[in-house]
Amino acid sequence: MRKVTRKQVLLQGSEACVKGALMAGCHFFAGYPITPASEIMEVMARELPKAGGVFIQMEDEIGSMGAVIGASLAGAKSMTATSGPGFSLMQENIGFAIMTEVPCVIVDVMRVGPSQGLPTQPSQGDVMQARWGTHGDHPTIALAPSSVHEFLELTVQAFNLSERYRTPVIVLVDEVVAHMREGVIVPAKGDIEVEERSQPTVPPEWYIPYGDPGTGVPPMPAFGEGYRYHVTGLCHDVQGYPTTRKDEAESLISRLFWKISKDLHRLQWLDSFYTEDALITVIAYGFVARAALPAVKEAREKGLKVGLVKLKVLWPFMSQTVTKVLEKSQKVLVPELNIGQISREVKRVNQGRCEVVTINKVDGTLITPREILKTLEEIHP
Amino acid sequence: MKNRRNFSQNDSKYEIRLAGSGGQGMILAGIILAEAAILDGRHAAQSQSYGPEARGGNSVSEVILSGREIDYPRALELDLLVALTQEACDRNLPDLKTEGLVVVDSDLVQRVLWGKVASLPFRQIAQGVGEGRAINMAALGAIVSFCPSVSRSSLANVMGKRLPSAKLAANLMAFDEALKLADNLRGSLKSVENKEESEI
Amino acid sequence: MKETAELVHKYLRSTKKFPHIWCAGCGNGIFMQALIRAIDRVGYSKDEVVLVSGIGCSSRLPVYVDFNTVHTTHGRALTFATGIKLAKPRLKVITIMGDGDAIAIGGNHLIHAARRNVEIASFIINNQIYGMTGGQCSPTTPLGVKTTSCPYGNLEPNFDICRVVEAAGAAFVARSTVYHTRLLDRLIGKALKKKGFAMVEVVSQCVTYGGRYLGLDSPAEMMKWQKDNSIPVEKARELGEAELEGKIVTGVLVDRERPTYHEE
Repeated sequence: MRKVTRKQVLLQGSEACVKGALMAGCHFFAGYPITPASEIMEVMARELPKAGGVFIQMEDEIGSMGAVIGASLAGAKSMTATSGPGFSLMQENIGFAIMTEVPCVIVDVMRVGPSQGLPTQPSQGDVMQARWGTHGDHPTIALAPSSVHEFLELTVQAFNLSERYRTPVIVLVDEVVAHMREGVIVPAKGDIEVEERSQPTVPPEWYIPYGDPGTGVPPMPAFGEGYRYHVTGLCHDVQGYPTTRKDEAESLISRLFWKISKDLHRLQWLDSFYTEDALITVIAYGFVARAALPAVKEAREKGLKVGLVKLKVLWPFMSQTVTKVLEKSQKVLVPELNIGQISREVKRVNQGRCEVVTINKVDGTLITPREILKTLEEIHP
Repeated sequence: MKNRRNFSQNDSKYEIRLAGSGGQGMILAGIILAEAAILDGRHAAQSQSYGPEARGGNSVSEVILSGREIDYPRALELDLLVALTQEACDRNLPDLKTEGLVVVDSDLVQRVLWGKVASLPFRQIAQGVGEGRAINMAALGAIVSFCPSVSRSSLANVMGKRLPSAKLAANLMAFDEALKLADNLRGSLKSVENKEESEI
Repeated sequence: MKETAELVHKYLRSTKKFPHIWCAGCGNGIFMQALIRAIDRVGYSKDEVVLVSGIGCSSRLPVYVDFNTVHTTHGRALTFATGIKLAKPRLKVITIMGDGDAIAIGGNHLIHAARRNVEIASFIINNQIYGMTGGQCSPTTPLGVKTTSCPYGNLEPNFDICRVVEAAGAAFVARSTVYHTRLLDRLIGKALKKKGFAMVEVVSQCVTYGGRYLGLDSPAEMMKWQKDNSIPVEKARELGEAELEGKIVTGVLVDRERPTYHEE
């Protein structure tokens, strides 16, 4: 007789996201209704005021993103949640937050696009929009949960990364994970590590708001605490003032990249299954990874040497992890609910080492374990 | 109610789909079912698909129950389909496993092209207790009888938490009445099953 | 009124690489002085003031003054200001926008900020043109005027900013020109102290583009035009629609008590 010893509670993905946000110290939420992300806003509207935070429904997603950045400048950990069309509207302000280094979290519950697409159907079509949606060269951090439990955990981590690197962090979740309910063991407050943005240790007159203290991430005092400084989306010098000097512009943009890329080895978050001797490795993320696992297990039972690597970080792309996979496997299978977005990255890193096979779907239905198993059987050497 | 079997011995996956039209409370029924299973110490996953309509349209709620952690939280081959409209029945029958059971409302679903069928008057039961909207809880009552993975006490417990208190008594009455009818029917279903097996 | 030099030393950022970007004769500098005088008079500390602007010439103002300052995206200043105010209500949040910024691209945010009645003092510097991008017509460009984007004359009737904001529910609505500096000082002070959403439309001049298209040659002429065309609201109330055609009605247009977003 098997027993589950720790106590589970049934949570919807959206509820788990809100729980994670509150555990991470989220104090401000601004949003606008949109299917299939409205549940997150509704749960926030109920729970955030109880936790002493501020909730506001804005007039659109552009305004939501503006309010989120404003609240963060005033010192509040802040977030919003949306879906494709709203995510598109937020892009300009997300770029502003990247450029001005304002921490915040954006949850994008992906539905089928382009445009209105299939509002209630799952998709992974916003992977590249998360990467390149806002204009100009910029770094991106995006996480992809595959279960209700992971949605909670990665929302906490999204806040942590955003505070650590002073940058917006995107949680890319498919509609199924946001809407389904699973038993979750909610971690105790003390079991979760919560990070805060670093604070200046010097008096205001010595404070350099956009200088590099060595980590690439300048300390960030809240407005109203005596450190008066200027925030602008224009290229700025270390004091935060607009500049057109090429050396200042260059060093700003490079630092925005470097502060994250220097830590790439810390951002290889994955789960791997049966990868040791795998001839074929499935690389999957989000809900599709859930379909890949039973397919891989069944293939193993049939004697096929296959494994699975589930990516939890999509951006910056986990090239170190994927390179290892590509070095060990003969073939790689990348199933995705899009026309091939992460598979492009896999192919880029691959440089001809392996055969990269894809399964792609954009019709609003899920990729099933059976489909993955069938492909594995077909391509197994 | 007597405890008919020790459900926790059943480690394998059990897949249920509740299908009906929007407004029949299929999603709530699925949530209650999943939450009750968790109270019983099992793993559960509930998901749904729906159209843009708030009322009408197709509404489907799936519940996967298992003694182990659930890898894939959607149905692959249904053990049990509950269908409360003809369309829901026709659409979802192909997803049943060969030995799967379909439970339908005897008024709302007239034609079921399947061997193992339990046709029960859920709507009548609900109307009988004076709460037409209790049709979903009546259907849950029948599930207790057929599904090895969920107990009456946990379901009643979760209903108490999730339903408005003014409606609870009527819903529990509908639930228990359907459970009783389903229990009576279970014996005859077994014989159908055995007959089929012997024919094969 | 304190000596200008004293205020300059107290409020301008000595570390900012001056000169500023504004053209000689622009109204933005006059407004900036008036704003500084008003803040000093009201007695806010520099640490509690947050200046939020959008995009445009007037939106460059915050960089020059020693407060907590944010130069946001085009049209969105009020959304950032809303977030700041709600997250830290003790801050005194002020927005500075141009006419294109506030009522074209940011028009929706303006009416909703007024509707919510979040305590923000907002100033819209209305020079009736897009100056920074080269003199295109804006929602306040007079009918028939030729600009770079309406070379055959503007076909669109213009917005009355104050009426829009009043209808949306703002607690305080006023108008001045940069010519009427004493009035401007007074109105900014009232807006700063108002509990609720306050908006002052500041009619200004774009000497580089506006003058050329409006047929006025010099900053002095443009300010004289402001003087000659303005009517105090008290006097305007006695006049009919026809007599007010093309006039700038100045003074406090609306001053009412409404629960602010925070009090609800």
